Amino acid sequence: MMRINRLLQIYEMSQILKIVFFILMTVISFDGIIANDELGGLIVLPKVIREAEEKVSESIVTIEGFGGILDSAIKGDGKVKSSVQGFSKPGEGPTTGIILDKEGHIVTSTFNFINKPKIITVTLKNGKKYKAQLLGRDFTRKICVLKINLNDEVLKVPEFISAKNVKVGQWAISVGVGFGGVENSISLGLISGKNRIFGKAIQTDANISPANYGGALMDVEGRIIGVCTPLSPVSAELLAGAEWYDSGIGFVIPLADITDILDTLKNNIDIQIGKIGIHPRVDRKDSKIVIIDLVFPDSPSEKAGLISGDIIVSIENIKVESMFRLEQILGRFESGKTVSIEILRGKDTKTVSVTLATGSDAFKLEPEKPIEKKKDLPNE
Amino acid sequence: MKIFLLLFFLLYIEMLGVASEDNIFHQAIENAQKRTVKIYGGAIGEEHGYASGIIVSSDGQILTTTGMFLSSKALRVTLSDGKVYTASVLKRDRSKQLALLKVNAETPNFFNFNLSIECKKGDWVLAVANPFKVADGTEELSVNLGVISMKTELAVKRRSQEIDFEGQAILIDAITGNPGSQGGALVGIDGNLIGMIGKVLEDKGTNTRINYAIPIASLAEFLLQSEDVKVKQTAVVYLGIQLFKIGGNKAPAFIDRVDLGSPGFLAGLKKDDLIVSIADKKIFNCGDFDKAVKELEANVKVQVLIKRKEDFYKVDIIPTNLELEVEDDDENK
Repeated sequence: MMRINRLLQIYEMSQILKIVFFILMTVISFDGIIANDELGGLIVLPKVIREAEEKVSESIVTIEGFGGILDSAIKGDGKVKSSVQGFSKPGEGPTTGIILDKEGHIVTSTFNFINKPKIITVTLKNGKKYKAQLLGRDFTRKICVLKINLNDEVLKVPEFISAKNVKVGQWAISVGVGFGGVENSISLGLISGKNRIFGKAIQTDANISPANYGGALMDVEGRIIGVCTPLSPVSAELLAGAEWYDSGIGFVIPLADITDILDTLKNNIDIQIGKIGIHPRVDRKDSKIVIIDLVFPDSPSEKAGLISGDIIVSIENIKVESMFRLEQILGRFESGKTVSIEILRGKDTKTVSVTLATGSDAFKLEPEKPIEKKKDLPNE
Repeated sequence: MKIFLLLFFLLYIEMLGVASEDNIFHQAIENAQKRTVKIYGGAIGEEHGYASGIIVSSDGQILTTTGMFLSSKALRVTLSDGKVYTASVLKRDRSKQLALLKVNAETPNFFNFNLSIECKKGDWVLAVANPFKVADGTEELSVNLGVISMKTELAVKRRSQEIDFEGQAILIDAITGNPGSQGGALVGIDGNLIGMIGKVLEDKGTNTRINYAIPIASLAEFLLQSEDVKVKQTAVVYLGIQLFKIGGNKAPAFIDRVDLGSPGFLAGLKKDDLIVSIADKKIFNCGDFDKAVKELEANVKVQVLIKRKEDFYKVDIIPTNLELEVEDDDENK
């Protein structure tokens, strides 16, 4: 009997020693344990996520549209008008926006305004509702800026982090109010890739869907990386990319890196994909050589003096080595921007500056006819 | 302070006995897989004839969702050891979307209901289920890792049909909105049951499939319920109006027929009147009308705004009481 008691005592002692050992180990290895220790890191993560969400919470707003295509589908005569094709009811519920500055500018996704609502309201986390004005839209990034007129309200501007400081593989949390319209729902994932969609977007495997289009993707410290929006590498259509919702492939537009774009949007100027107005082809013998097949009349290329047969060597010092590369490079620039294009004509290399135009301006089939001067009526 | 927190966490891991494992989720997954089953039943059209279920007692009681698969006479359950049993339905509740099955087998491994545990937004969750019936026989069920997105009330639909779902739901960011996942287990990092994965449903606001679980509080409530609840509506008021519903729920709320002597008839409603609002609630379509009617109380006067030709009329209607049998569209389709 005594021996059993003794054994039990030894066992208890060993347990206590084990705990003491743990305490010692913990104190010794405390530095950076949260960051580096896999077990510790994973277990504290839920708490870290909640803190990050709390930090940005007040900077996330609810956007609602009233009187759009779908609301007004039933006209006075009782006849139902057709609704938007494809998605049966895109962006009909409450959607998300991020506060950009203290002046009341809010950034969101253009997906939320497919219905073209007549009245847009923005509700802050404190419950105050404001009527908002839709300013510029960027069709290349599918984002837009709203403005609310504040009285005495002081908005909480979130902290933004540049894409340069974001690493592939780091944690990312998407936030949006699409489920219910008040509380933020969150999704956890990783940064999967950078420089996606012509270098404009960051890719994540956190769930991105209509529940958080217009919402934020943030890091674990509650710094906003970008705004969630449907994007597709193969199509620039308004709804393209939305079919990939919750698929593990989601895109966000980094905000800290496009202050110039945001300023343009704040000034109520739309941004479109820039076109140079050529029809390119590859050389029959070498598919790495891209040749101008046709220059559209009155296009930026014609104005810059490019002619059919010119070989495009590089754009903005980036070598053009395939047709795909040409599209990829040009996809980075918006209408209105000026790019330098190096061409090879015969044996001469030449560099020209081309100011990009919108699609409708760059691809005219006929040159615009000069307006005929009105002849003065002969005096009688 | 941080040191103490850390200490707590480390001791916590030690207590779970997973410190030696190379994966902190391992134990929780293994426990859940032993307690979750594969269910096979009937399939009609696009309704899939399979699901998952969780074992809730030692004598073979299994909790799952309601659905088409239950209607089969050959309802089969495959336990984690690969043995197949015929199951019978003990009870079901359509509003909670839950059903209790029974197999004649000893099930020593079952989920304990610890109602004191409260899960929070951001907590890790593991979904253990059989989506697309990829696992068969003794094969282990699929596991998805995610976090809790939020806890909320649901406003959902299945295809074009709107569904009333009672109580709270736990939205998660693991993708579980797939056929076969319904009835699966949602457990925390410590292996405790948090909820049961729900059916494939769409959110009404976002028109996207939602990934959600029914919390254990609702599961426990259902298990304690003595009766088989088939009809979910407690009180239905009678207006005596039938709408022109050929265009479905999205069609404008035109009156097609008014029953003689009904509250609607007494108020002076006529065929082809358009219902604009009920008790100041705007009625855009037939679906809105159905919803508004559900909220009415019998013998309480309510103001209805109608449009007849080019004029608007305000009429007062006093709905009467009427118990209506609501057909169970899950099973009687």
